[in-house]
Amino acid sequence: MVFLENFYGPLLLAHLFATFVLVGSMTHNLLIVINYLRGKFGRQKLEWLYVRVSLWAYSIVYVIGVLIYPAYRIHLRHRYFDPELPWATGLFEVKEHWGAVGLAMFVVYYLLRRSFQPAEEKDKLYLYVPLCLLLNVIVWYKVVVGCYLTLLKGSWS
Amino acid sequence: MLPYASERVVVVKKSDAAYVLSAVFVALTSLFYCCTMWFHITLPRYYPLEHAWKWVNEKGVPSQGWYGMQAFAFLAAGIGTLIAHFGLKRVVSPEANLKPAQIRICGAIATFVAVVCMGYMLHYEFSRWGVFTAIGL
Repeated sequence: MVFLENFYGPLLLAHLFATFVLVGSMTHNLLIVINYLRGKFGRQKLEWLYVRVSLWAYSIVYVIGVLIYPAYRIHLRHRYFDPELPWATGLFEVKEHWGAVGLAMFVVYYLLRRSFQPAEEKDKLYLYVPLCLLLNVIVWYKVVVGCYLTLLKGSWS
Repeated sequence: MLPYASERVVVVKKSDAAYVLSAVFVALTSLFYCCTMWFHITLPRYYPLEHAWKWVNEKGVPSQGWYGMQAFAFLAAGIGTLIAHFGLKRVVSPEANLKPAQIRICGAIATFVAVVCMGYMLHYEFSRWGVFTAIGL
């Protein structure tokens, strides 16, 4: 028996729901951050709220992902994707690598936002804005690839 | 009430230090993560069927190297950032503030390194698993 394989379904659903929160908060966050580049700093409190929600959501998504990975590795990847659809494993591997780097970026993003005021220290947007963009790329890639792989084969019998 | 000038300097300095260290950590994490691929560094792997951790990559047996790669990248980047932190403390005067150009360059370098490393990860896995071939590239 593989670690937590009996709970794979409910955990995968929880993974998905937390991802909804994550992608919603990060996308809204990006829309506000883009306005910073236009010199509009009117929604900083809301943006800071999105950052905190995103960090929590990402942490939950990450922890659940770590927990269900062994069952996925054996029942789906090893028995189906690797031999039948190796390109799908390629998509998944990038998702995992970017997800790991994204965790470090998220922590930095949160600490950076906590340490500066966008309206007063505009030069620091040179790191803050690209980080926000990269995190959105990572999150959206994870959502699209995760849903696509689940459509290809989401469970085993 | 406005803080004293000396307090304002301290506040700005802390913020600048946080900014520089953030940039260093992002760049180093991406870089060290890629190093595990470039140099094929042997790291602990989890074998789900045996519920065991091993320091070898046994061919034909499903295992997970992802946990080890992350741990290596985070630890190495953490140590690197710590060294940068103490280095900054020694080299930079406590009264000094970063110039706007330095802040911009620092952010741009960190972003550049992160983007290149993410691109490398994508290229590495897409080539390895035939994704480029599957989409006709």
